[in-house]
Amino acid sequence: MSVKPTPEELMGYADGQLDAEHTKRVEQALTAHPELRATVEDHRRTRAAAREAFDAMAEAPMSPGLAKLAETLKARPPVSARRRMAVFAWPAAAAACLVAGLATGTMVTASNDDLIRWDDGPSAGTQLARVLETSPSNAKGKVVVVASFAASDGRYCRQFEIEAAADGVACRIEDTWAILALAKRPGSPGSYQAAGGGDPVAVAVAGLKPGPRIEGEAERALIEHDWKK
Amino acid sequence: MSEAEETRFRHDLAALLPRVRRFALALTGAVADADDLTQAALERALVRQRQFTPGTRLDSWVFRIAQNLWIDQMRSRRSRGTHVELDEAAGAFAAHKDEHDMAADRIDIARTIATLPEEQRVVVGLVLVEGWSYQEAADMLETPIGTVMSRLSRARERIKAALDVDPVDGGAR
Repeated sequence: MSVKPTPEELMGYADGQLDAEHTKRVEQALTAHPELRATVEDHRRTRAAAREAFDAMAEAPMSPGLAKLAETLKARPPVSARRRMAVFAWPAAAAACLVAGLATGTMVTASNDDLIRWDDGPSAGTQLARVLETSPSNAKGKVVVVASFAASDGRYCRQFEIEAAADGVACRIEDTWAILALAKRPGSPGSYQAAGGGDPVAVAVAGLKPGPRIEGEAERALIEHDWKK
Repeated sequence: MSEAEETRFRHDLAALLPRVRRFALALTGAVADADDLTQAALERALVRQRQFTPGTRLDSWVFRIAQNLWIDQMRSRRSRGTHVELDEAAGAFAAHKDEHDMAADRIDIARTIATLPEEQRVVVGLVLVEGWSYQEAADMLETPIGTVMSRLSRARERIKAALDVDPVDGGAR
């Protein structure tokens, strides 16, 4: 007469968690105690039910954000594209009047991959996007937001600096942060009010015709509402 | 991490996405929340890819990230004084029933799982939905295997009860 299996053993058996020898012992015990088969069967039923419970939901289309991430993961941009540029200005539809000429210098290197994404034009990588989306102005970090403002077309934009070595400006376009300009710091502090001149960030900011600086409570509210009005 | 390793890492993450998403569905009970969680987990994995040890299992590393993120989310929700509204969850399920004609019993089971205590939901998601072993789940949750089993056992009682009250003539079968 074999020893009656414990409830834990029965569950482990039903879930295929036991080693071969242990499995055999439980099987022998089940022959001696057929009334326990119902318990094993219940475990298999609950397992199958839980497994299938999310089948239909798993077929629902992915959210736009997740779908975009999936594409980004699958399609790694070629190295040449990622390593190539230095200082650039990116003309967005919103700022078509921007100077789009590529300047020279060295700024974006492979180590900035977490910051800058290159899939179809520079957009903020995970790390930068997170800061732009969630950090108040002047919060300490690798990336510091210097100023937030609304462009003349109503889009929200933020000027930022990366490790006190580069300046950039990005605007929130269709739930992502598109980088309009990014430049290695020439030595000047690069305040967002700086206008004209050869500084691509200042030129980009000026091209956006910024409204007043958004700070404090107003900025916090925008962050809380995901930059929706 | 070399260029090739990095590319592989990203492709492996992409391949894991459906599994992470299904786990997130089990945790959150709603597609929108699950997608947010999945996205956050994969983004965190990307940001931290240098912390991943090549040659070890990427899937358990990512599941652990997803699991920890979810726990953090639940904690911060609680501390803000809000909680997951069951009506909302039920509404999400109802919407899916309309959209996908999901079988009634599956909705009931998904809803039952969504209303389990958090620590039971994680175990159900890992072991029953995603097929991790008890030991793997215990390692990910940093709890003893006995705890995993007792949570699983309690969760199963609820699932079984939901299965047993299922109307056989539910129409959607």
